[in-house]
Amino acid sequence: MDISEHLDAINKAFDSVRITAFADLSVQLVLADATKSDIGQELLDDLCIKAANAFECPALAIDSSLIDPPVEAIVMTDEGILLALRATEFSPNALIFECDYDINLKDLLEMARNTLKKTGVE
Amino acid sequence: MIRSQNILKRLKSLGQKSRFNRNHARIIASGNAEENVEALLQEVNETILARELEFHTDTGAKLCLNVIGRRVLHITALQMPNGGETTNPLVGVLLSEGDHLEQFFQTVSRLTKDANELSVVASTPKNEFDTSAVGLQAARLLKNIPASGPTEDSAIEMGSAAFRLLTGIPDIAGWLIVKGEDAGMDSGESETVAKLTKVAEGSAGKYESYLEQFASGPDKPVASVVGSLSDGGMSILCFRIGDQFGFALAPAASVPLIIDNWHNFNN
Repeated sequence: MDISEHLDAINKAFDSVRITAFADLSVQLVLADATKSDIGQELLDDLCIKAANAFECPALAIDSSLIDPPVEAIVMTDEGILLALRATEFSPNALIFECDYDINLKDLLEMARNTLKKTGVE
Repeated sequence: MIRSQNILKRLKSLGQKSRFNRNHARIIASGNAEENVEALLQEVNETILARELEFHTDTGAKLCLNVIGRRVLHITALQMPNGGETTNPLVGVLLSEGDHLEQFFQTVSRLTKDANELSVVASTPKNEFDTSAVGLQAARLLKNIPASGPTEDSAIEMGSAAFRLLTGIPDIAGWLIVKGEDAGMDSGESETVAKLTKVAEGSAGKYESYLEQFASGPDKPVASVVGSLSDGGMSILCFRIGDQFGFALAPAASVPLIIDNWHNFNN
């Protein structure tokens, strides 16, 4: 399975996942995506920028011994959940999800982590 | 007759984690004058073993009581708001219902009248006192409080939104509010709070900007799991609700529960 097929599989497995994307955060570019409805490139770009910024915890810049650089970032707003995962804390590649609040987060995280392992993305 | 809003308030307080102020004193009231008096007397009414209860208000008042078996035996120290009323005939006297009930009630009412926050520290008495003395029964003092009080709605809505959210999630190990009406308030073990303080130290403004970029509007609630502590894997939650801004620590496994609570609270 290539990365697009993995994204499709996740998108189909979870009704509450609105957007599934694979991105290179270092250049803030979505490389592949799977969505339940047609969305514009602008929305994908915005999602990618937010995911990249979500990993930029302010405390890391001040005292890196206090906090581990996050491998997973979760942002909650009144519009839904933004979830971003990367294989390691320094990996530029990430899986990004935009979800509704009724998402089974535990199962989604498990499938997403397995996807990162299977695809060997680092 | 027992007032329904009192029952609601009591049930609510039992379901909440204790709040502590900067002096590590437990906050028992943050309401109007009647609520303050009631909270103070209720504290006495819940004290069975011999204790010295030291009450403080945010107006600078202080009251130390010797309490046992839901009864007040002595006022050991009294400092009225802003340094007023330096002498009070009740201080140091063995209190009795026949002689001091009304005067004690008036003293407590004056002490807490303009306070926005009433806190208490309970400790074992430094000096032994005659526990066989009757003193003033808290239950009788509570009956002196006028029947009019806050509405049931205001009783239910006590505390800021952030406070209600944080105290409604049992898995949260500690929290700290750094901005808003409850700024400086925290909960949890001192070590946990110290870690959160270190996370917030000098970078609260940066976290605000950090959250702002994700919010759908200037007043919209937003929260983020910003990482985990290096020494134990606890997840750090940074949040903004209205004008309240702060941090919380929770086990990583509890994040789904926190998300559920966050969503339910904001809907």
